[in-house]
Amino acid sequence: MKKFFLLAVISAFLVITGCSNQPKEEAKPAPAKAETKEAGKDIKAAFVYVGPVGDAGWTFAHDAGRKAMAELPYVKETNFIESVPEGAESTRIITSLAQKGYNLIFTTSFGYMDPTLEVASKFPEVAFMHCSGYKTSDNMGNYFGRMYQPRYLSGMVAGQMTKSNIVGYVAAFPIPEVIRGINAFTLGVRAVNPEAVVKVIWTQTWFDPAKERDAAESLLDVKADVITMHQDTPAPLQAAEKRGAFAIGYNSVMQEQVPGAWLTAPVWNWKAIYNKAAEEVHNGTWKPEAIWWGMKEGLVDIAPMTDLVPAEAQAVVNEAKAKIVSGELVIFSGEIKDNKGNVAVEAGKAMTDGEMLGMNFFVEGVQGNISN
Amino acid sequence: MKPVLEIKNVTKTFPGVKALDGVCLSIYEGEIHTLLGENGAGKSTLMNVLNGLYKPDSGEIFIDGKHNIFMSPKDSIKAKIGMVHQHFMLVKNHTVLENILLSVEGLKSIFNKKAIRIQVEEILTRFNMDVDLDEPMWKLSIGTQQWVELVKLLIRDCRILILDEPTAVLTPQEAEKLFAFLGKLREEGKSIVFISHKMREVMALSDRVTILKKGTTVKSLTKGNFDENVLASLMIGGDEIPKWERAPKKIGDDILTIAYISVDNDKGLKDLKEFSMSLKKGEILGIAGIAGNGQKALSEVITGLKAPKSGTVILEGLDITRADCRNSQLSGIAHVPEDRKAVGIAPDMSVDDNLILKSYKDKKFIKYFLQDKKAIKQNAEELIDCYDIKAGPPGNPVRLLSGGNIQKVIIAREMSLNPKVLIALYPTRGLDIGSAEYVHKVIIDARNRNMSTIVISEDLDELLKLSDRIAVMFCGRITGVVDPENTTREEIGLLMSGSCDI
Amino acid sequence: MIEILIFATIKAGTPILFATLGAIIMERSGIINLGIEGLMLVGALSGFATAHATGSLTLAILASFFAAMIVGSIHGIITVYLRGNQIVSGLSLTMFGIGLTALFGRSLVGVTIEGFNKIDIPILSKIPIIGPSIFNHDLLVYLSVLLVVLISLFFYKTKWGLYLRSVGENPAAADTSGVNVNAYRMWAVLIGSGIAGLGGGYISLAYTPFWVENMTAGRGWIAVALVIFAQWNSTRALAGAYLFGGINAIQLRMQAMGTNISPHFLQTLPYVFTIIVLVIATIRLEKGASPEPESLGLPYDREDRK
Repeated sequence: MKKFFLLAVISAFLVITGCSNQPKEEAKPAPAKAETKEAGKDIKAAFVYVGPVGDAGWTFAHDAGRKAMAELPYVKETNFIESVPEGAESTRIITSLAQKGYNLIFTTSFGYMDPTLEVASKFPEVAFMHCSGYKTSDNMGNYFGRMYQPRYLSGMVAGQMTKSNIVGYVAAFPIPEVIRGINAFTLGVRAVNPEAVVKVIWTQTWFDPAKERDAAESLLDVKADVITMHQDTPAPLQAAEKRGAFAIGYNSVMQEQVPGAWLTAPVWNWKAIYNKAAEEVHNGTWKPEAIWWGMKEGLVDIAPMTDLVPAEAQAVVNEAKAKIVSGELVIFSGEIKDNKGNVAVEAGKAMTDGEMLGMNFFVEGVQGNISN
Repeated sequence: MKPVLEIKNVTKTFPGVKALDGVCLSIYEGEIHTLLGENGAGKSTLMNVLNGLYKPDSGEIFIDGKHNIFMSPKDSIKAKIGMVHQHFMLVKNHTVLENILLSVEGLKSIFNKKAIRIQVEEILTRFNMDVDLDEPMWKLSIGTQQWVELVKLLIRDCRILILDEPTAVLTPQEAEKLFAFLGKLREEGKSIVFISHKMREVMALSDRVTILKKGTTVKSLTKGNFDENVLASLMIGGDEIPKWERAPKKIGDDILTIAYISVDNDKGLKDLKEFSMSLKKGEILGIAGIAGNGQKALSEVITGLKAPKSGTVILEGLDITRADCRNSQLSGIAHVPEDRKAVGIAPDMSVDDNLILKSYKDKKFIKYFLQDKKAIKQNAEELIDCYDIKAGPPGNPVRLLSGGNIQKVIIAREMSLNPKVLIALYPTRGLDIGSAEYVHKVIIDARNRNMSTIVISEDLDELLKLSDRIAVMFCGRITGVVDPENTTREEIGLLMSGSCDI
Repeated sequence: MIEILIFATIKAGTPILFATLGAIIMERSGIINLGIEGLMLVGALSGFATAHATGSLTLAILASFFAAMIVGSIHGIITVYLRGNQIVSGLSLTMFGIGLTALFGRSLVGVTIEGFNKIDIPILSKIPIIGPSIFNHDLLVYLSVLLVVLISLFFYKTKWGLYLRSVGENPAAADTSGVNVNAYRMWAVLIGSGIAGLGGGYISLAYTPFWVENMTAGRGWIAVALVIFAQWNSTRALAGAYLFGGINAIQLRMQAMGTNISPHFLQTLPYVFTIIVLVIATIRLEKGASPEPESLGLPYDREDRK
């Protein structure tokens, strides 16, 4: 009997330490705040993350936005729960956050869409914001960014830096979001270097550093001299640095990890949307909307280019950036051919948001397969 | 003369059982010392204590007069004691040589296989054994495996060798060879502890006999002071042996008819070849034969465990050839299987539950879709009382019972179904005499109630005493049917070896 | 091209090889360990942290080994001495490893170290094709191959190997021959865990020299399956690990070269191979002979009466 008890205790210990899912509260010291209190609602905001904040990618970027928002004077408390599985488990966690009195809740993965909708209907006083989905309700808005815009710009950097005219792209899965990024990037490359091609490798995994690195090495083996990616870890970039090639990141700045290769990266700047939502809820002006912001609003951006990129090249990119912000440059506007030679977007037309969200072809200049 | 090994007042308890209770034993140099006792008397337990596997609760062991404590088999090996267990301690997937290497004392860290091979081959020639050292163990016959076990002891130069029922797995010829071998060892001054319950062997071999009974030493006798009768009475003395008699009676008509049954086994060989046989109402039909001649397949076909390739099984006009287990049971077939622990019971379940394993669907054990615990308990109490089962405390898992009591649980369950036909395989194998006779009595009593029984056994004495007719099986067929009153062992023996006209 | 493929194959196969070798040692003693994934993560993090703190790769690789060994000892104590369920304990160990490394690794995300570099073996690395593909790796690759040989020698040429194998096959037989069954099983778990930890260390110190949560990405589970594929044999483990690594390397390179074969199809190849090998292995074996240690997964209790 004693033995079984001991076993039970040890197993319980292992399980508890293995999967702790406790909210990590970061309350602020109270006194400094009390004085700056103005009229309007105090904000208690909560974030639901799909990955760990230490993933150096998607969740990391969201958490950077949360930290920035926490600096606002009327934000009394921010809180996050990481590594929340999509589905039923997330419903439970979102509900418990609403019950605890958070009045602004962000859910940051596609799979949280329906759970968020369900919980939102039960807590009409709470403002819900869901990232990357398409549903809204009386108290639930959604938000996402036009990442393809800075992707295009980073493509312009790659197009100007490549000598072999081969750019390597390590990508996770052939889904519209990833394909859109590859196409925008390629359009950017070809805008400055019509001779260059973009070679794509699917790793078929969102997360496997070793495999991502191997994929990058495969691209380097076929003479790619600039590597970019739609993955979360710095593994492909490290491969590039090791072989003396250039690296363009994604999601967040990893310059310190690959100082010898880092050029730039299209990055998220979630602070823009988080600050806006907090301010609106504070003022009572918040409305549930579907937000798809781009560079103009500052939700996405291209990270500062390093000295490895010559000044002239930087100037070309910055010029394009200004045009995108002003609306003069629309990226998916005709004429665009797909990589089999057919016209995908006719001259003088631009793709609608809906078309972009369902993109399933490669533009001219991409070498790779979208297998269905 | 001083004993090389002396055991004083050793006691060992297992949960619920006192296996050894103050046992004393002295072994001298150069003797063959037989430990005699019924199944469950504690012989193997005592030897496992000597082997260091079981730690005794109390008692002392002296080697050459020196007090010794066996914490593990290592200490026993140091004292130069070696044992051939009833279930061999061999690594089946390793070669013979590797198995022997395992027991070489002081084996070098990086050993020289060749040198040890030479050493082993020397032993093999000295004792005239024929073993291929590079064969994997599992390919060897059981008899040969036993030789390997003995070589393991010899290479370690043991001076006390314990053999736990070594002849159980041997043919008479192999047993003779073993006895000659043990004689040679005795001449070399080794002490041999021989465990057996076969009187003939005990008389032929022993210099001294110690009788164990219910975990205590009854007596030690030296050669010349014992004969078969003395030993038998000491072994079972005081036990209540159930008495029974097979009264002559009129046997009825055929109740079970088996016609032209053929069964193939997993390897594609024929277990039964157009086997035909009939059983009469109220009859006990004994089936003799060396194990492996189709007895198991026959029982499986009758009880519905296996469907035959061809042929029919008719029970009172009802075709049960393709009936499954449950249907054949419902039509009145009961089964006492060969492997009572693996097939006969659910070892970890309680005695109560085991007693309704086949009748759990019966309305009397069901109350509102649930099991009626009260009825189950009452049923168990009745059967335990009726069959005199020592079931231990309530809820006791049945595996903790002795072999005899497990067999009683199985028989109680089967008989409680009021079967028309009982098929019993080796029903008394490994039981003490009291339990064995009890099983016989139950079968005879049922015969008096006109139930029919098929008893499959290797024990000719059992069959001769019990049966109304004896059928002999060889190679999946019946080679002859004899009347126990008017036959000889020789006749049956010839039929068993198939050396007769079919 | 061929030398690139061989080179990438060996590299991708090495972490799986370490993990498989560790699992083989444990399973040969009769202990299943489904915690390999957790042990690899512990090895990966402790190695990386040590390299970051001290700058010494020697210390780092020792840390990988010993940290995994210490964590693995939990499994050893539960399964060997307390005779707990090996499956449950192993699964808990994986969860424990994932949680533990996530917790302690947080501050190391985004930190860089100087990882293992390639060592050109003099003369040999100049041979065409096999030179740059086989004799041009980092130290840990050579260590893994050395381990394959050492483990094979250990199993079949030493007393301890014989005893260890006997313990896994029939602990009672080993016990009655004076072998300390529990000690052999415990040591097998400790050493095996350490070697599995080296597999994790290879990933964080040589393959992708950084730390990120869960970076072994399921390689521990592949190792658990490969043990069966390898039929508990270290040389076949080498073949199996390189087969897995090779197919991955080849499918990525086929994409890079622009072939039209579906990557989905290529992804399934390692598993198709596993099934084929298993089928062949079962057909070829004679009845009764099984490379699987007979007492695998079963606790041993000397006084248990069967």
